[in-house]
Amino acid sequence: MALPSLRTSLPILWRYVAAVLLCISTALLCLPLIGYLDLVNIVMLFLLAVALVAVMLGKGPAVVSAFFSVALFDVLFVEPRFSFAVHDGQYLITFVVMLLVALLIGHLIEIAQKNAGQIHAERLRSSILAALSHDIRTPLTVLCGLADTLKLTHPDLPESARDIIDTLRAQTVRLHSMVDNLLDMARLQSGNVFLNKEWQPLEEVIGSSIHSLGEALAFHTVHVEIATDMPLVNIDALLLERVFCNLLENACKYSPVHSMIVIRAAVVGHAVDIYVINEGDGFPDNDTQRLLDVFERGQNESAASGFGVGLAICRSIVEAHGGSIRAYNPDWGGACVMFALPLGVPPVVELEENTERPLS
Amino acid sequence: MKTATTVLLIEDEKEIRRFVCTVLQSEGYQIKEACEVKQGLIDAGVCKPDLVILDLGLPDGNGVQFVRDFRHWSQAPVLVLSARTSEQEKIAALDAGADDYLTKPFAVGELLARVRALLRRGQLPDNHEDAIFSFSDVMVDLSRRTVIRGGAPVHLTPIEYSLLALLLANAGKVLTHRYLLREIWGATFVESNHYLRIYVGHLRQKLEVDAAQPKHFITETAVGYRFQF
Repeated sequence: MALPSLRTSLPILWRYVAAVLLCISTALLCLPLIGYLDLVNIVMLFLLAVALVAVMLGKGPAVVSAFFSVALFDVLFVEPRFSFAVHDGQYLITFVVMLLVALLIGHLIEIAQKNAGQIHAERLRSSILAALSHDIRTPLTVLCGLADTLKLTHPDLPESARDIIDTLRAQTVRLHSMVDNLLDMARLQSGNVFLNKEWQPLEEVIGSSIHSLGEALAFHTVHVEIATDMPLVNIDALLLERVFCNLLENACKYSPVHSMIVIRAAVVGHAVDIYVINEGDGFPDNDTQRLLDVFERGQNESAASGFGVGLAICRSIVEAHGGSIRAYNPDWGGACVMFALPLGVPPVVELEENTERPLS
Repeated sequence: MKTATTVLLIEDEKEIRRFVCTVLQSEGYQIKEACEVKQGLIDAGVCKPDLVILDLGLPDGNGVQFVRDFRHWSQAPVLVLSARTSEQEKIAALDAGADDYLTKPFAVGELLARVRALLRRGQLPDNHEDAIFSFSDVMVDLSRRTVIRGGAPVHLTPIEYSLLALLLANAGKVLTHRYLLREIWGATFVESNHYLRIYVGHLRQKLEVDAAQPKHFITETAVGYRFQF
């Protein structure tokens, strides 16, 4: 709409002048109609003028135009004409209604504009994040690719050189996962995350997380314990994969090589409790809930480094699903992160009747 | 007559083109490079590639457009390179006829493995009905409709069997949820992703060593499934 933009494009004084002019025009328009229109209808025209001012010029000019309209109406149209005196106290109501309409519309327009501004800012933010994520990914892809290529195309390099290449690559992958975490955190913290929820087996999300970590889990054994009758859960698979990847990565980082990581899931009441447990030294102190806050890390500058963002992301994602998450050191040792996801009512699935096709 | 396998690489980032070219050439492939959709289509027409590696975000348009045009006249496999956060784009490219995708940054070894798998696919006879497939301790004979694991027959329901046959016939290729649902259950089921997930789960339980850590029935999260040997 072009008209409402007058409220921002006109200097403030001119807005008030325009409001007064509009009231005077309305009065001039109505004067020749005195014999033909009832006073009620003339009031309506003034009300329309006030509403227009509220929409086009803002709350202040609207209030002024409400006062001015009532004055004009009183002086020019109400008997005795050309005086402020009124016979009927009812015109007080006319005045109050006009003032309220002016304030109400002015207020509504302000809210609408604020929302539009927020939506704009949000859009800007997510497009910046998307561009940033693309721009950072390109050099990371090149770095990883060049390291791999060097190793593949020069199989005769000395062991020390190959070590350097491996380190280069590992560090690039680490940088990539940090960038991913930071960008995800920014996206999650913007508040309006869209959850693409679908009913799916937990087992599948766990499987794809383990698969996507690939080499990172090469020195650990992951054991998954899920009951075969585990119901489907309503989750955003991509985000839950993020949770499992972060938890598994942490579990790896803070436990000795060749140790076991256990993922266990069980239905408890109206929720499914999921545990990720390692065989490490456990979290350093008992204030484990703090670990889940942004940028909080277990140890100060520990050798096994990491960004505290990982756990904070897990928390954001789990809470966006209506669940809760906590970290603790179980009595039998190691560290455990437990999160609970609400169990809804899964859709009915009509499986084939038990007509197992005879295979000859 | 062509001797070497020709790969067309369409990617606008010079440095990415550089290492992909180096590594593919070292494997003996002949490379043709392009950095835009339009130029890619012209090059494809000229060099008739055996495989296309395609970046989705190109300066003069979306790679999906390339796949659509390319599929009008060629069935050569298309491997898409894409960013992590654009699942919808990947699905659009796959639905348009792309075969597989890699998310940036990717491991070069993985790229080579996918390229090999896709090229091998292109050499398979069209009539998969004769084929016998084996993976881990499982042997599937599509012509006799038998599935044997560790010497003992495995009982599959008709839907499980159709799903297995479809995945096997398209091994190495990512099949989207929508495609699988339409092929197995019909057009009215295309929104019922949970059916598909449950049946893939059944196949994993019957044919994988550890259903929670599948080696063959691979989940492409939010996109679809891929069978790999």
